Amino acid sequence: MATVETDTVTLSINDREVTVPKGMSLVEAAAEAGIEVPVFCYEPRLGAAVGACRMCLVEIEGIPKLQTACTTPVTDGMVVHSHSDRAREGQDAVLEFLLINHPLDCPICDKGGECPLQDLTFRYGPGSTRMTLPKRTHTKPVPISPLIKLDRERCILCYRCTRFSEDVSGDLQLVTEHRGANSIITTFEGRPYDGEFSGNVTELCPVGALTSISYRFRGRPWEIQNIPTVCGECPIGCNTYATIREGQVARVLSRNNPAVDDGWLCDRGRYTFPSLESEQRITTPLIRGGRGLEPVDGSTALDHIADRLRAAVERFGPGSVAIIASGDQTSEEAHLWARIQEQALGGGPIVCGPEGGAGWGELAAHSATIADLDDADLIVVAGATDLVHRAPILELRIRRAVDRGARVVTIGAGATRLDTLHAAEHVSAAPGTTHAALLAASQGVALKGLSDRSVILWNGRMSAPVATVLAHVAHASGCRVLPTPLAANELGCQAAGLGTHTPAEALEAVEQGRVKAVVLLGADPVGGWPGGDRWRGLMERAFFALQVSPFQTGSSGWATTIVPSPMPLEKEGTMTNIEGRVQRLRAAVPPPPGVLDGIVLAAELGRRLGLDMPDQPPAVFADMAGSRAAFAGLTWAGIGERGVRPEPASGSGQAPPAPHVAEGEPEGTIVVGYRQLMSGPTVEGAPALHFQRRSGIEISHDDAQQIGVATGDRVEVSFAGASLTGAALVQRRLRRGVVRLATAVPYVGPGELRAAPEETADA
Amino acid sequence: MSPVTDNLKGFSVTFRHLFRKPVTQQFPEYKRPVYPRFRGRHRLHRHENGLEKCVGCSLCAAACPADCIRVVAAENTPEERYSPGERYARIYEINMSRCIFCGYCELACPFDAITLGHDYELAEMSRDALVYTKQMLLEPGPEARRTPVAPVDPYDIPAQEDGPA
Repeated sequence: MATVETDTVTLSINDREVTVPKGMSLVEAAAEAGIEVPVFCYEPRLGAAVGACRMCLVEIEGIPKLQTACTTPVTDGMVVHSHSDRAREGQDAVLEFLLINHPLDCPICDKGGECPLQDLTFRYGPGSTRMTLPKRTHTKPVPISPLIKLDRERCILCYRCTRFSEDVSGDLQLVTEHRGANSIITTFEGRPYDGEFSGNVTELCPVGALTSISYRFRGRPWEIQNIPTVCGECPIGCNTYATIREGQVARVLSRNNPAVDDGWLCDRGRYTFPSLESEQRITTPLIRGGRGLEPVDGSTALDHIADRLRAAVERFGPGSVAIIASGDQTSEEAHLWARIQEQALGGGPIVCGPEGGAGWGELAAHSATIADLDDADLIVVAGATDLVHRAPILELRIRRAVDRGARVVTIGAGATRLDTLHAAEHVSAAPGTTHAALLAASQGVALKGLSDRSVILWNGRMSAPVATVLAHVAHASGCRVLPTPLAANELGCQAAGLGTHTPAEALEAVEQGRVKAVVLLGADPVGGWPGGDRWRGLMERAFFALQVSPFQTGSSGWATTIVPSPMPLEKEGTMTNIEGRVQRLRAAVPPPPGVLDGIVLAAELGRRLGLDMPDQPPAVFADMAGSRAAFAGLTWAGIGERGVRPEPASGSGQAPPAPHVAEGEPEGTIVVGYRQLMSGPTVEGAPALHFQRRSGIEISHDDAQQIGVATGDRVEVSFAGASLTGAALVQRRLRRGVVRLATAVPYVGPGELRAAPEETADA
Repeated sequence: MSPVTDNLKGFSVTFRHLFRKPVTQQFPEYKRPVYPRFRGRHRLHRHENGLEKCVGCSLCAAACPADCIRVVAAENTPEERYSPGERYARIYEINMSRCIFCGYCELACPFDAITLGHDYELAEMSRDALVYTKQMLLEPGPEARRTPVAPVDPYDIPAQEDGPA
């Protein structure tokens, strides 16, 4: 006798035998068998099924009444009929009930044409209604935030949106009010839905009840094209569709890639596309002349740049040009610029991002994937700020891991959103010494159980000491690490050779007088990097200062030549995300007239400097794969829709050197200035998002008592030679002595906090 | 039969017709009536109160086999109201040089906003002039009455406060 298989069950659906794992719901089992059961509320990504819409009624032999297939687990020998007369009758009746109050304004409704309710009404349901009474009416449409409008008449109360808000994003802001037929969806206490992931509910809504204001009446499914691309706003690289109508981006949707984003998208990725048409964009090359910046055409600008760069190398010797990149470039652009620096300009310093990325190489052997968070039983999040500002979508994965039973340990200053998770444990660490606390915790009891099923998420600046600690802990325990870069393609830029120096090393070279010319690739060191004054000094003294950027920035005032560059939605190329996955970026719209493609710009410049450079993305990628080890073996065609993650270098297997961590706690007040998620030029160009900005200066309970302020009182923080006044936000769980606020320039260091005098009535 | 008689027989037909009344109709002076269901130039209709029937749903554009209809919708505001409901056609264009007058747009329209009329004199000196705009297609009628509509009370949105800089 064969042993009885205990973890699978066999059942019959519509006379089809199917064997599925135990515990699976009937809807999924039917899908396995190739049978569709109609659903509205069922969505596995939202957690356990609730059976709210009743659309999935099926007949199960032996059970007198029809059952909802989404909430019924399979059992052995079950005989299910989803298309029998009784089941059809039940499904038809449910649809008829759903349509009793649903307005038939499909020609007006934005969902028309891509509406699950519309689709299922065509395939199921009686085709006509017996309802002759007037329908329920509500005020419509009601804005629930500057981004989303709610039409309560259309709502079928499937609770997908409230389940998202409650179980997935955890912001608890969408709630149901009243009962039964009078239930309505609303925001908690009528406040605007202010959450980083709010836009996802518009995509989850199976009817046109929750719609994006920015897409209102912009297009119909037959008038649009969905271009599969990748979000270029943060290093996660969520897969997206850019919807194009008449040559303009009309909306951005998520494109489910379970390995990266699991079908979610943050509001920054979803709603910053209006910045493509921002007035702040530079649309023509500018050369500083006698009367300030004067517009020129592209080839004049290229000739001028090539001439100046050549002159700089001739006059000051090779290596006198520094390239300062933001890390938002595609890997192809990065490769070409790196080649220009290496082969034509004599190899001066190249900086990638304000954090400069030292130490990434050490961690390659231990690097985790995003999907590793799904299997991890212990997730360590180390950093002084909220994870959402650097890698927003990872927060949703961590929440899901907690629901599954994983432990979360946060190491940092405290009072982050992950600290509010019921499974979270917290290890307090002064900002700047988080890696030391991590090392100590890994050797103590706090991180007992750190194993190869654990992931350490390093949510902060990467540096050599941090990398040493992470490599040491990973080697000792077998866990994997997932450090978060700051810029969208920081890893790809570095892999393509754009990033040889840290900002500090570059500044040193500048101040020793070795650097005489500077090329800013998307970067704004004067306005947005630590040490802005020193960078400004470089630009002021520079023989030649070129800025390549989509927007006017704080550095533009010192640039002698400015060349506009396209934004991620206008580019072809690849980006490497946080886990090293190489993903394709596809141009959804052409850049504005006068803006040269980033690859063409670099290639044309390279040709003028005597290099033979390809100017088509696939050819550049092939060139890059041939010369850069990180891209070896990859092909343009092989990247596909989902991207590829090359196996990271396995490393030597030897124990990394034991880290030396300075003992002692920093004294006095420590100010943590972080770049918040809703900041930067793309957010500036999307005014609807501004309501999500966080203001307020987070101070700890003890400090608040000491200086005698409460939440809402004005406090003054001085750090880095400047002072800022704002409303205090007293955080009971914040570490004593830590002041945390969103700033344009990231900063961690000493500062001073005091109560500010009451504001005068001039405001 | 000889070739001579054959030719004479043929010519006799020609000569007979010389003395008949011509069937030619003098077109610009005389316009032949069309059949009731003739499909000519499109018209966009209004409601009795002057509001446009078209809500800009683009179903006509979806149905159009010649792909000659372009609709760009926008939202009515209490100050500028063009159609009942929330949505109206901000741009409605038909490219008459492409239209094949099949009438599918009329069939597709859920509001009977577009019909094909009886006009057929559509020749123009340039192709650009054959792109008919909404103003050209909309039937002449009372100027849309600006129906006053109460603004949606945005009770879910408190006034925005400016945070500290």
